[in-house]
Amino acid sequence: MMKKTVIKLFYIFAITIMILAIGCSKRSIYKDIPQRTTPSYEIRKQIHPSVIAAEKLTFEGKRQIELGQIDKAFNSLEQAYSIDAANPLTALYLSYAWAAKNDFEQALQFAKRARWLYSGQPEQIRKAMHQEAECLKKLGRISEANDIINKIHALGYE
Amino acid sequence: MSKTKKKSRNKKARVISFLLLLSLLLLTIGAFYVVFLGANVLIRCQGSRWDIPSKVYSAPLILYPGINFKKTGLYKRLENLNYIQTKTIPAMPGEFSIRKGIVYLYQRAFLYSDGQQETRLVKIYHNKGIIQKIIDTSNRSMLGSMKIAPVEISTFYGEQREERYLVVLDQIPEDLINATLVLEDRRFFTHIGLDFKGIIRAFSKNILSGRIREGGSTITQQLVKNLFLSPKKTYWRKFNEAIMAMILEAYYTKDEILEMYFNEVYLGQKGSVEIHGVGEAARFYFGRPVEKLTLDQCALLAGLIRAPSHYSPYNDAKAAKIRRNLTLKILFKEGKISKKSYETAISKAVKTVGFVYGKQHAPYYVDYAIAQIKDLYPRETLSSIGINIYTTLDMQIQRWSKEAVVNGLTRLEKNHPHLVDTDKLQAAVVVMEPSTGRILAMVGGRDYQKSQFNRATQAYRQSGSLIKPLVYAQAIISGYNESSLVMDEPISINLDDNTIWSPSNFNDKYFGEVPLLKALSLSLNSATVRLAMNIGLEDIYNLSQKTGLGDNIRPIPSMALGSCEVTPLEMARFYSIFASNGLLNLVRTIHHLTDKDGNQLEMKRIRIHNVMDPAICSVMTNMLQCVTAYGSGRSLAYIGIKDAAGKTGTSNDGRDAWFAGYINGYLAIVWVGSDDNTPLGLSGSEAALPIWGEIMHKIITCYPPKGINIPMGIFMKKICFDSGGLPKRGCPNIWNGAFKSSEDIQNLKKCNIH
Repeated sequence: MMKKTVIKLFYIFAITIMILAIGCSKRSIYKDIPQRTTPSYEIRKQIHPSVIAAEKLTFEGKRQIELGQIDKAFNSLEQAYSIDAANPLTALYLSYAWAAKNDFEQALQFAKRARWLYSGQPEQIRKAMHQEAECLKKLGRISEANDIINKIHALGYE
Repeated sequence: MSKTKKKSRNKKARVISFLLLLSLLLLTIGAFYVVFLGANVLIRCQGSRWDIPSKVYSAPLILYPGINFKKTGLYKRLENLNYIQTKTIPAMPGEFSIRKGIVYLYQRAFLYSDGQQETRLVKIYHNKGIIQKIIDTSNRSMLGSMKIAPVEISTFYGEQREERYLVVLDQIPEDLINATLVLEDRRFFTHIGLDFKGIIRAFSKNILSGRIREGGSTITQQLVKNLFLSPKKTYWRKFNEAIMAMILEAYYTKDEILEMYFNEVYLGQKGSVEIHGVGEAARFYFGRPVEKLTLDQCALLAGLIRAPSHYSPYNDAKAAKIRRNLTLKILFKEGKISKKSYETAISKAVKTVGFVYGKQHAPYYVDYAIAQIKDLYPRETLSSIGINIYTTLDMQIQRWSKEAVVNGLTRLEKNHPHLVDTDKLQAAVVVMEPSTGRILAMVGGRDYQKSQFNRATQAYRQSGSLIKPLVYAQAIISGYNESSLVMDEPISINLDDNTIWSPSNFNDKYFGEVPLLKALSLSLNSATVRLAMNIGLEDIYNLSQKTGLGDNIRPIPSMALGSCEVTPLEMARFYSIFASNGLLNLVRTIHHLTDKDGNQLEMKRIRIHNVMDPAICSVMTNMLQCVTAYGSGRSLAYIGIKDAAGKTGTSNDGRDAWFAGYINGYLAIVWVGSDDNTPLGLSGSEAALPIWGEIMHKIITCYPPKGINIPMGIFMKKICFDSGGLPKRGCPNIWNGAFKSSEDIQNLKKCNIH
């Protein structure tokens, strides 16, 4: 009886040691490889519910762009941007709105912004980069546009 | 005999001819005079009939879940908008009630850039003032956000100082028209501009009394008098009035004349400003549009016309009530209202909304906003063209900024009595939304009444250490990182004019080899100048031009310590680049402009310009956060502010004290000094930082973060503040540093100090 208890305790001790060892090794992996900071929408949403308010306005702006109501879309998107300037979708749709107004310089600036805000989301970055390339083409900066497109291919986003 | 007869006949003929000629001449002159009067009438009535003052409005208050509506000034805003608090659930637009956990708000309709906001009843659910959700009761939908109407912050009056809100006849309630006609001109729709029965009655009364006591004027005559003639009571003026009234009647319909009259009639006084027209009077007395007036309110307004000052409910509520009841009685006797309506109206108390006169909201801000549109709308035209200027001003932040300036300067004078004698202590504040460039608040001085000089935009002052982040940003761009070491020991530099410049540290204290993080946090002059010389003054100068610091910066060694002169607004714009992660936006105070009818004239959209790599900005933000954690801005922790990125600045002999900083997507800059550059011996952390702290503490506790302060695209690693190396167990100050690349982190060595 005593022997069995000792064996049980030994197993518990061994398993605990193993768990701790695995934990420590994982910690050391993270320690050695620095992680680039990429706060996602989910993280920001937890920070404050205002992010959700801005998101609603962004979707309203998106819908208005799709309906061709560009001025209304501007109002929704600008309000969203003012509440949460870190939402990449808002920046991207502001880029589309400026492009619809034929102001490709501003469209380019917002597309650049969106690309940076999408950091860590390759599929979304590709969208923003495409928009950048489109704006550059419209501005007659063809070689810069081609560079962006090459970069999209090089990064394996497409 | 016949000769005599002939002579007298000739004489008669001559007299008759003379009289005929004279009559002809008088007729011609009379005709010309009538034409002249007619031309006057038509010119005035066909063009723009009135000078409409332009108005400046604040930004709307935007409510959304997470915002602290109590502290952000919802109730104050509703008070400014003349909303009435009720005990029950609001039944009419313009009312609100507060119940446990819910605010019921019956919004009035208002026009903004995104269109007409119709009236609606909303329920704002909150927990200790923090909004949880907003429900529109009309369709039971949950709103992501809602706007509360902007507040008028300034009006540009002309010489006549008249305020008028134009309305069309269709907007005017029938009760108001009836009440006005029964009191002022019963036969308005039948006479030709003159009411002969009335004239005879007035004339006989005047003869009996021996002076002009009564005019017997019709509404048309009153309109003519107000528009074209002086109020002086003479027979010549009455003659002109009669002629012009008939001309007016000949050219315009009765409805057109009535509409002009209702827009012109004088109805009271707001301080030195005259209230003209029923549209403005309805807002002034009852806080509602004219079309929403009730019968008792219509009767009160109509009763005011005879003697607005005497019967004004603001001057004498009792007299106003007696006059109102008399009007109601006449209306009832004339059969214009039913007995029931009469009894209901007469039982009502005289209620007014109240008004605040002469209180200028944000005068420095308004001056700057007007200057921004002066090319399109010069200031001198604003008193007549009636445009509406919607700004980006946040009323609550403006209030807090003003209070903080007053509190901060009073505190300084208390602690430094010699500053009271000089009476020169001034301050300027700019609060900005860095991601958009919108100015949320601006204080240009201590007292606008005493000095209209806007120190926030016009005062060029030495920036002191406030400029240092420019040097460190260029260092990061050039490949340095937070842990890179720079020597902090006395330095002498040979200048172009063969002189030697030897900048020293505060209190002549030197630290030897220090990481950039520590050099910036402790604002070490020697280390900063040495760093600037190492990375190249030209590169720093080029960056200054790219970041909009303007022409006052020259590529000389003292540039690194802020010898250049800048305005607080320019510095705010410079810091906004770090705060927005790389955007240099146009500074904006105007949101949009509309004409007097609400048609949009111009819309100022958000325009951004990416000028700096966001990763560089994130590193800079991290370093500036260290300033408030371990450096010259650490006293912010005592007032409960953590994680703010900021920098103090002090120019020679404490002439200028600065603090610039940002947190949660809000940026503020504070300058304290004197107009004549007197040395005050004040430091940025002593004079400017507490003002900044007071403003920002209120902002961050009431407004949700705008999500811009999150570091992105960088690598974080804990380092020792003193050595810049990887921390050991004994390191007293460990900082979570930000790095542009992972190689920078991999190259870090262990702390060699502790």
